[in-house]
Amino acid sequence: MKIEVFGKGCHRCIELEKTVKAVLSELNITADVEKVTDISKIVDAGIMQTPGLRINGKMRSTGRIPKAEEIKIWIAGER
Amino acid sequence: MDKKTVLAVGILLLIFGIIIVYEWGGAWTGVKTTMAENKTITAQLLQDNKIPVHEFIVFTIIDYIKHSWLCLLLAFIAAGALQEFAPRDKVIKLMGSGRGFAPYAVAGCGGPLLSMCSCSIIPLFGGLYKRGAGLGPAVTFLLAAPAFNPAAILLTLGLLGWKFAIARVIVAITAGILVGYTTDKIFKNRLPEPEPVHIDTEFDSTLQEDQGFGKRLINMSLYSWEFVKMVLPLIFLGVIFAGLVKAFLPPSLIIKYLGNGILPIMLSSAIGVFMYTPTLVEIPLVRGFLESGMGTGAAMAFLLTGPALSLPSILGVCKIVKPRVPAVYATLMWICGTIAGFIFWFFVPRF
Repeated sequence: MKIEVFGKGCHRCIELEKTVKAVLSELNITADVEKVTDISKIVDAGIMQTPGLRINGKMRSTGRIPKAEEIKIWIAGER
Repeated sequence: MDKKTVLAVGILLLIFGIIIVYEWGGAWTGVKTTMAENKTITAQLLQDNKIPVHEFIVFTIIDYIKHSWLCLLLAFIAAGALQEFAPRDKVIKLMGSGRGFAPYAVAGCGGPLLSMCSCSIIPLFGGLYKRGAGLGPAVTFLLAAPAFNPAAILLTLGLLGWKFAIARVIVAITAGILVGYTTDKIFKNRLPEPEPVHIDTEFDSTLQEDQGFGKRLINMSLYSWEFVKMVLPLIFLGVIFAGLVKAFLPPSLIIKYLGNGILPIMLSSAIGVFMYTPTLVEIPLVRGFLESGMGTGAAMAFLLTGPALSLPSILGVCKIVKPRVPAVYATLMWICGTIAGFIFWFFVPRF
């Protein structure tokens, strides 16, 4: 599974990355978590409000930190 | 009504209570007089060389807390409320549609609705540009948003007084629109059309349950808390830096380079263009400099260009558009900062 966290490294983006990693370890899933900090890549992904979360190429949220339960459902949906 | 709603309403009532009590104490009108007192105290401290440096810093911190805690509190609440309640998607759509002056007006005034953290402004700029909003409104948004948001205005009101607060809003919007428009005209038909990007706006909304007003108020306070965690340490650093400036930089030096006159205004405008100033930190910083003899014009110039531009932001924008574009708008912004500083100095010659 490929999970991408988009953000230039602000507080909210770090928070999102932490939440994703916590969910993964809780579900005992290994996934490829990539932190995308390059601004042109962020823009090309169509994200206007950071942080953004993309799971297996599907944009799940932008501009907010989704709750752990939401991320769990999304990850479960990809398996 | 569930428990959480009661809690949220309680929090709101408490806040209103604090505001009313604070107002009775004459807080909003007292900024000026306490400033004058401070100046004499600082002068006394400076005359007596035996006073250790850390006392300056402690003094500065206490002084700043005294004047800004309510404004900061309100600023954080406002930031949280915007994050939760602002119709951001609608504003983005409005900025991208329409011809003529309308997108500029939305970009200049819509900034506070979209974001306040400077690190999230560049993706928005890129998105606006690539979505076909046009270069002009995107630049306007980039420049006007950091200075024109409720948090910055409230903190300016608390630490610098109402003249600075009002002037800042007017200057930020005017300069943003002017620079955006001019940049657009300069680069008209000279830049390749940006390749359009597909933007997902339809998300899987399985968990976006219908949220009541109480729930949204709770969300709002959570967002506010996020801003507190993000911004407060930075402001604290800014205040310490302001204390260090007061303690170490001799006022004569500040008066010479950042005092009154056209050259100090140009210099301070240029410093603002390049120096990285995190959101809201410019305000305690400028107050520190003002107390040590910075001119009002130079202060206004820095308040305009400081948060709007920085070397990291210019470099970030270079990845989205040709480097010529930020070079042009940075130069224009420097000129605007100089003119704005000069006008403000004319109307408000003394702090």
